[in-house]
Amino acid sequence: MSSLFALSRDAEVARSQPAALMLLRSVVGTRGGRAGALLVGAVLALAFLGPFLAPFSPTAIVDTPFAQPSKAHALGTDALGRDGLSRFLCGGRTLALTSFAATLMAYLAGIPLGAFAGVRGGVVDIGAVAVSDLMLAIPSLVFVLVLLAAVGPSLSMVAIGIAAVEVPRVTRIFRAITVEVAALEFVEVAMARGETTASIVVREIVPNLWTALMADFGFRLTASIVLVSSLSYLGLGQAPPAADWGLMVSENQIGLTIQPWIIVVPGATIAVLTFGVNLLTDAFARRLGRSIVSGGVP
Amino acid sequence: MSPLLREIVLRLGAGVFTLVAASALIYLGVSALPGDAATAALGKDATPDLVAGLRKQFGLDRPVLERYGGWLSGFLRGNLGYSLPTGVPVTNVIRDKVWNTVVLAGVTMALLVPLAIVLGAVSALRPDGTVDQSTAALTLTLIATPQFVIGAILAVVFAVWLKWLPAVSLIDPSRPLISRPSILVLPVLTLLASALAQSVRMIRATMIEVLELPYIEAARLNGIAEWRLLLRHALPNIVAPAIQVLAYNVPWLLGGVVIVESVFEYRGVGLTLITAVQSRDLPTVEALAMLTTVAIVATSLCADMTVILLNPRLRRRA
Amino acid sequence: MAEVLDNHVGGVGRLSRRDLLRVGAAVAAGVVGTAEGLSVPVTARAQETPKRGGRLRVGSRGGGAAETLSPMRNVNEIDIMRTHVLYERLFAYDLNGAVVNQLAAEASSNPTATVWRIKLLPGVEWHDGSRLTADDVVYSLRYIATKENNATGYTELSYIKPADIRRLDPLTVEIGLDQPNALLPTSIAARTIWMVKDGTKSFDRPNGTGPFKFESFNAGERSVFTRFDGYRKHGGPYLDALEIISFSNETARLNALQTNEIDVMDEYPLPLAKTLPATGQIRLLRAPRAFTLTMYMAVDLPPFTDNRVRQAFRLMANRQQMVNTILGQFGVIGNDLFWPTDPDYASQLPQRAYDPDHAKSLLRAAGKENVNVSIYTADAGPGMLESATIFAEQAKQAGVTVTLNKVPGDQYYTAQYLKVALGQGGWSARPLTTQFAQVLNTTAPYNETHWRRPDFDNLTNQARRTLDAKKRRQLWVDAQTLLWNEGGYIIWGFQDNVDGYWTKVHGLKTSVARWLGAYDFTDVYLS
Repeated sequence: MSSLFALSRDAEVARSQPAALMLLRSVVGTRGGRAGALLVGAVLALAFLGPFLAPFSPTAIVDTPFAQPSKAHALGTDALGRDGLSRFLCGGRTLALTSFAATLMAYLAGIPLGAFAGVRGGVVDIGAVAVSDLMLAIPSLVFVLVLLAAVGPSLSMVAIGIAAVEVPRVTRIFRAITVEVAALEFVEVAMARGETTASIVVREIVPNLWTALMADFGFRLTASIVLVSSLSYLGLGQAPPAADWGLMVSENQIGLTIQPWIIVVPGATIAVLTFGVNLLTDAFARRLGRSIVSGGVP
Repeated sequence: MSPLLREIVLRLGAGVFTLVAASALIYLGVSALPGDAATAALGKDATPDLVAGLRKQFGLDRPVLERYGGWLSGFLRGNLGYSLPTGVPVTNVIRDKVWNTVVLAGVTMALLVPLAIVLGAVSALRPDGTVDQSTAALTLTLIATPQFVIGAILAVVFAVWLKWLPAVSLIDPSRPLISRPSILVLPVLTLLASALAQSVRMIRATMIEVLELPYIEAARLNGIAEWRLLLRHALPNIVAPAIQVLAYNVPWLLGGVVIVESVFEYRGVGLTLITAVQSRDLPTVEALAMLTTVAIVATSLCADMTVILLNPRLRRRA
Repeated sequence: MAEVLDNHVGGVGRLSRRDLLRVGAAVAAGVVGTAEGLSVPVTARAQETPKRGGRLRVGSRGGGAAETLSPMRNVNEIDIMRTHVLYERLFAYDLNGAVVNQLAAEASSNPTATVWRIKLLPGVEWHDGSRLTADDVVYSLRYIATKENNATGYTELSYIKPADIRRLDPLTVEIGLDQPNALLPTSIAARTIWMVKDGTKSFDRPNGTGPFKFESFNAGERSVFTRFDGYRKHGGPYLDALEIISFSNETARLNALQTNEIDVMDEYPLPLAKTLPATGQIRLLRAPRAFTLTMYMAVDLPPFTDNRVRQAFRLMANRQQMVNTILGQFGVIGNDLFWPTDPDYASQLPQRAYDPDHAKSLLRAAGKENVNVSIYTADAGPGMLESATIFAEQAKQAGVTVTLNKVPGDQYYTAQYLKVALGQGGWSARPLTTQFAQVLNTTAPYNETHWRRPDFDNLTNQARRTLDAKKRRQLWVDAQTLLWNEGGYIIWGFQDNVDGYWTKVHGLKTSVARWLGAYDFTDVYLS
């Protein structure tokens, strides 16, 4: 774990953004980083701008079901005769938003929890670690499924559920970082000065977390994307007739042999998105000196 | 008490504690949520009176701790509750299917362990060599792709186009699962695709650390061949961390089993869980979530025990 | 081809053979019962000699853990399939939908149709080896006619007092009626009136007279049946075993057929039927206009309590688009009434047009402009989910918002099926009297539209009592006119029964009554 914080440790100097920006720039300098950024950018652009470019309404019936790709319908039609291209263009926005929202919520909850536990130590710390380990004993998907069974399929519950399963992992990482950073001199000085834990966390710890955040973000986001799309595939995310990449795969699976494009294109796009995120994450990891995987972090 | 025994007892105690805590998390957590078995059963047309009536019928008007106690003690005695729409005991519903999932997960693990170790070791031996680069590229791709995408594509390629394998893994309860290995191939391949990615990376990283240990360096300087180095000196050191890495993957694997069973209509507990969630059959969902946790904690305990027993000096985790 | 009901009535009030055929036929005119494959036409009876042996695997939509072996309480199509394989009825439908004898040898009534006598076929064996007698028939009919037993066939027999069902001799049953019923055989031909052995209390180990005997059953998974060598017909069955496998996922079911994990599937997905190669290993069977997927509005639940709202909903359904998209060449549009091929169908009523603007104004007049409703739906029937989705899209033209309340396919017919304001149902062709008894009379077990109208009941009951065919037809038409003007059904189309099978399977039949020749595997053999 130690080398993860190489930058933050060495840089009492580097107390905030400058270190993060440097990292960012150096990552984009690598081939992998550039490729990853490009792929992610392309897919996100597709997801958010797509709805404005769709030639038809995603729910309008335009032709017979499972029509082959043609000039009028670049991706053919789906199981109900709706335009494949339009549904594809409209199908990424919710996926992207929900995944980002879940990841963001995980950080909003996990970072303060981890930092707090790391600074406070003692019972609070042990408690936080115990609860995290507990959550890690239940598979992420199963946990979210349990929540959805209780509340019913709902997009907000999906986001909350995914955030909930990511929080323990985030907490662990940031607790570990905090413990290391807290041992640094300037923090000890602040504690000696009698500053409150909260103030220490905000003013001394958090600014040093940016680099770790950037490195970890990729993992969380990939996990979120895979979970959101899998839940959509299972019909537990957005309800029909919404256009959704994961849902498109399961809705049209019956016509796979006749019209594979309507399944392959959304599925591949999800894969491209997570692949791009992974490339970026890997680039960050290499820049930080060592593969993050060594400590068993993901 | 010998230190070894104490260690084992401690681990067992921690395991039990985790299980109890997990059960509380599952049951009480669900109770804290807005929905419950009654609203789930009535769906969109739940009126307050109907809900109240049904709650009484399900015994949901009793205090939550009392219900939790009842559920937990029932669980320990083998009563997993009653499936919602039909009232059939959950044990009946999953009885034949638990074995199917065990076989699926077991076969996957049995293939995963040697494959991950071999690929991880070879990659580590020659970092950035051809094997390493290509494995890394492949794993990076696979780790990204959601399992339902991998599964659907494999199904089309192998079942519909090549016609080598069955597209759905229908299990015939009257014949032993082993008699029809072909229905396991695609689900296992799909699971392996993503699980391998994770495990190979971890083993590779651990292997690299091991290879940098001082005494390995010393042996290398003494002129011992790389391969012998690997087999006789490095590998034994990797067994313990490898076991832990693979045990770490089990929760992830069980999550994957749920999706894969759905894609291939493989009649295991994963598919049952999905159907139960879709019909909001809370008792079944809670029972299956608990079972999954039991499996994970048990595997984790076994892994820990094996590590301890293999090398009594490894008391503390890395 | 149809065996005709013999009629020994003498004197006044004689029912002619033609009358009985007419009142019994559900879908008669111009419909051929033999299979119309899309590719090479397959005849019902194969030319070569059938081979004994083999195991046929049929894949059908599962009903989950709620599946049952009981012939008295089946709702899911797969349960109905099993019942057809194990049990038989007094009367049944032939491949054209006409009522024919099955276990009954002849049926006759007195001139006022208040007393019926049914003679049974001699020498029919139960699976346990005993002989079918009048006691069994009396027991079965009484069981169904007793309200407390909650049999799905209760409504068919609700007008019969159990005590009035008597055994006359070992092979003759007499039924006394308070009111005349010219259509008793038609009533009893309903797919809910099965013959079980005298004294049967539990149906877990089925004992029937059907061509296959029970071997095993796993609810929601599969059931296995073996050839009954004592079956009353000569020739079949030829198969050693029949396996019916439940699927909760339609893609998996189709894949299973494509890779020959199953040999036969009923309800082949229509959008994919046109792409099946004509000379492939998988062929299609087709029975025209055999099934309808309806949408129903409960007339006693908001917002459908106001007839203007119901009319508006009927007007905003673009039937042609639904047929084109979902059925393709395998169906025709409907006029919110059952069974256009029934001789007593009210064909004089004009076809309701597609008029979203008129719908809008009706809604405005009713104060329900831009109303918001949810439709209860699932992947529980061919085209069910698709039609709900398309209807929701079409509703937008009239300013109406319809959201989909989707449940898993094998849960559809449990929880809320008969309790929602807007839902869907699927019906195979059957005589009007049976259809109305099952869904529209006040005591109907599947009263989807919650239609409880004494005037309607009067019309239909009178029709059932009327011996004169012309007068009877007028009564049916009056009843249908009531439904057309005020009813809760949106019947947008009628579709063909399409089944898929591998070419090595011979002897399958088609029928308008149900898929796979009303699940008749008696003459099936494998090559």
